[in-house]
Amino acid sequence: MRESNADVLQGTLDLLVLKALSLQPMHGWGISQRILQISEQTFSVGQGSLYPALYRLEKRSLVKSEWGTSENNREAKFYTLTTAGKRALGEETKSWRDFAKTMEIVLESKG
Amino acid sequence: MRLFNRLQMWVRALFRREDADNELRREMESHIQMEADRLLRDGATPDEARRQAMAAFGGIERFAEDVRDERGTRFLQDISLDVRLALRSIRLRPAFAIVVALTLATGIGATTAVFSWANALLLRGLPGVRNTAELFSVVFENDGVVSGVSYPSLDDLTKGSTTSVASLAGAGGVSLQLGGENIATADAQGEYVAGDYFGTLGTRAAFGRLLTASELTPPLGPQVAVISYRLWKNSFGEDTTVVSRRVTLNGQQFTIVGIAEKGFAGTSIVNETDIWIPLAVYPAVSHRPTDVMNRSAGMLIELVGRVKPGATASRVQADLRRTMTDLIATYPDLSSYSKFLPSVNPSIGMRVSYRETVSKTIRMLLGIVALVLVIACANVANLLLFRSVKRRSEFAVRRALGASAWRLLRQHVIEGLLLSFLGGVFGMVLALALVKVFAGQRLLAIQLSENLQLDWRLLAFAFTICVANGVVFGLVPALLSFRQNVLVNLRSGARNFTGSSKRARSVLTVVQLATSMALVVGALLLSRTVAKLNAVDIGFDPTNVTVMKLDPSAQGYKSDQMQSLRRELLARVSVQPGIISVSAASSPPFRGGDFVTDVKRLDYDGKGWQSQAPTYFVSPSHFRTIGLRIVAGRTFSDDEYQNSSSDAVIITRELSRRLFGESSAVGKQIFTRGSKGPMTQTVVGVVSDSRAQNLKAKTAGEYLFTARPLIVDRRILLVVKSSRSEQDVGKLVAGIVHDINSALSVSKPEPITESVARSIATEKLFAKLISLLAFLAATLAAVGLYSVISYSVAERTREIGIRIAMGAQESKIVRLVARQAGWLVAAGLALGTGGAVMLSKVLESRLFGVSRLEPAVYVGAAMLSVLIGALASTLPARIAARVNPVEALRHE
Repeated sequence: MRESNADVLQGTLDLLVLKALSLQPMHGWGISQRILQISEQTFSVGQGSLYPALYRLEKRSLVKSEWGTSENNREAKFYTLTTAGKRALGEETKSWRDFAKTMEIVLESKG
Repeated sequence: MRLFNRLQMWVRALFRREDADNELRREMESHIQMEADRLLRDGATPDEARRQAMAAFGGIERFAEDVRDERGTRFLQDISLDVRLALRSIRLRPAFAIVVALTLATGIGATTAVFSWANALLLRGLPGVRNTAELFSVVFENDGVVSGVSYPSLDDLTKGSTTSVASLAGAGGVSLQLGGENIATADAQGEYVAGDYFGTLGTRAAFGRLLTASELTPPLGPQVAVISYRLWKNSFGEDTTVVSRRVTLNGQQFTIVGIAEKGFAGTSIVNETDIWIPLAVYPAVSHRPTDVMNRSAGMLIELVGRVKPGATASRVQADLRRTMTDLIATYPDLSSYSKFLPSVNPSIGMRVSYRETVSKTIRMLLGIVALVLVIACANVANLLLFRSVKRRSEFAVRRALGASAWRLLRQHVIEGLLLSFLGGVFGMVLALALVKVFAGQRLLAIQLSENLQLDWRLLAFAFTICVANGVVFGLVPALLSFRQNVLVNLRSGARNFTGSSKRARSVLTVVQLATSMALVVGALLLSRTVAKLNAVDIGFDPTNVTVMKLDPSAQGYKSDQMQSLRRELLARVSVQPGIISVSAASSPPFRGGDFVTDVKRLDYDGKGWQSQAPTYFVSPSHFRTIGLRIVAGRTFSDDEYQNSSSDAVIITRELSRRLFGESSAVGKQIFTRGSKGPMTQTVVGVVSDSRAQNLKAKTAGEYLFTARPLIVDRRILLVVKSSRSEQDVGKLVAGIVHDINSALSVSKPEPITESVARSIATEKLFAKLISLLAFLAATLAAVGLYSVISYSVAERTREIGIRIAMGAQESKIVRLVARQAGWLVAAGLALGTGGAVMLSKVLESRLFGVSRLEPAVYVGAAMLSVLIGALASTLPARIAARVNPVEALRHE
């Protein structure tokens, strides 16, 4: 696992979690693995810091949780994207893209 | 839905915090297990896998805390932690907490109790009277002289002012003696009423009916009566068959037609009425030949009325005055009323002048208790400031360790709140206890209810003030400390406050000392007054003297039968063992006689009369019974006693002096005008002086004693001096009365010492109250001084340490502290003396036998203040003297 230089910003973490959950319901550890996977090992989320984000999202009703059993027969809490969560993912993806595009323009401009 | 979801989570998080925490832990644990599983699959050893998984996760606790933050219950959890912390710090310093709580309790308790009492006095409603806001009373007053109107005038005034007055009624007081078959003879305050009295007031009947408007329209007036609920309970044992029962009032047959609703006692707070009768029967019960239909008769009917909706008191007054002026023009007999035009008072219950006296007294008391509350709050402020200085290094350490300023502030506030709350609880207990002191007392002639209620709104008000005070003064030192550098505080334990706040606290202490000194002076003056009143020579000896009443007229006794009954009773009671002396009198000693007789020397050539003498009809043995000495001449002879042609009178020395100067009065003739018209009488004796009721009067009473009744003889009053107990005397006399005529009943024996004590009850209660407040103020001042001195000792620990290190004697250090206390006390004394002089001016009218500037009182109060100063500075001085120089300097 590479040492991450990407200090994942809070808002970004929320977006990553939502994105990770967009495929299927998942437990915390699975989310952390999924983020590593989809970011091509770039974003190493401090595993514990996932939880405040998950509770925050649950409070905002973007995700909901349920206890279940993992593939390895471990008891785990599974998080599912709610309709509001899906909508939020769409909105935040769009605004992130706008932001990134703007940043691109700014950085490409000549001094 | 989202809101509901969030709320649900929040509630679950708050109330099932353990569950939520456990769930979170379980979830995190499962995460670490899964990570460890992965590492195991990658070939790590179990131990290694576990360790690496934990490391990858980061601190469980840290994230758990972050999650809690996300849940949003953090604030409340912290508060509960702060409360626990505050409770622990209170437990650690119980003395501090107790002093603060008791100080607040004193302030809250005293204020609330006195406010409740004042409320009860000033805002007391009249039970059984409806819509009091619409009621008014009318006085015909001229320069302090009050007049009433006759019934025809009442009627005319009612008819002439219909535009603004809905109804008008009148009432006047009459003393009644209740009697009848199987009824213990009792005195009762009665009222003769006219017009639609009960309808005007809106009073209802508890049983039976009230007097109707037609019964109250003279010259009609059947002999019917309405009694109060209280009288019904006390004299008739709540027997409902009392309605339509026959009783006697002053010997006249009456039928009780109803019982007024519970609590109704007429329209006066000062005099409660128990029996109401129609105006037309007044001449019969009072044995005064008055024609109630005579327009210019000197009847005292006081008017009460109800305004028409929308009318004001001034319109009513204008209407009544116009009508009265018209009446004077029509009936020349009424010309004297041109000086007594009606004034309308938009309230009932108390005469305006009396209400002013009462409210003045109450305002003064309220001022004093408000001062006590301010002192209490100032004290708590001082104590909290003092304490915060001692704790400043503690807070500096916590600050340095990362506690947020907000968190520390919050803790100050919570401690302040907790202490205030504690004080509030104590205060409530104290207020309840104090209210008990006033319950059922007669103060300023107003009977307070037996179940005087604490005013909870006022309690809440005082409580809020104290809590706010606690919070503010918990906060101020904290805010001040934050302005200073944490490091400075840590290093020095920062002892310095700004000079101005120090001065402010000194001023507060001086004011406290001054207030307490002024109150102590007031308390001493009033206590001296009570002592002097107790020591007043009333001129007769009330010990072991009891009074009992019989009402033979109810059994149809005529006046000659009455006389023989009286003789027989005196003869039979006097020979009983243990009876020292027995006599008959028309009214008990220490009451103002039956009526007042105008008296002058036969050859007096001045204008008018020389004296208005309260008059008693007494048996020859009366002077011996109550201990009046015959200073000249003799007492009545048996021949003179009850002889209807006897003109013998006995006068007191004071009356003799008034009529004849220093020459002897015995054998001289006087001219009198009493209820039987003018007559000439002969003085046969002069008795020693005595006083009745008003103990403060400068001179003794000018009393006239007659050997025969000058008003209708309708009751027998036995005055017995005995070596036996009151109950024994009662049984003995009742036995003899029963033996003579089993239909006669006799009242319970009443010791005259009681009526003497009653006459100074108001002064006593007043002295007690001021003493209590003075004690509270003095205690608070002591605490205040103690906290200021302690504070300054704490501030100067370093300086004192250096002094001791330099070889200062212990006594010198003590003197250093004492000097500071001395200055404060001296300033307090100077200011307090001024305050006391002012307070004594207010109290002057209540004082007796002591000058308001009595030096001994002021010296005593000053000595008490010095004593307080000494007590309050001893402990801090000793603490200062024991300062360990090494420790004091190590703080640097």
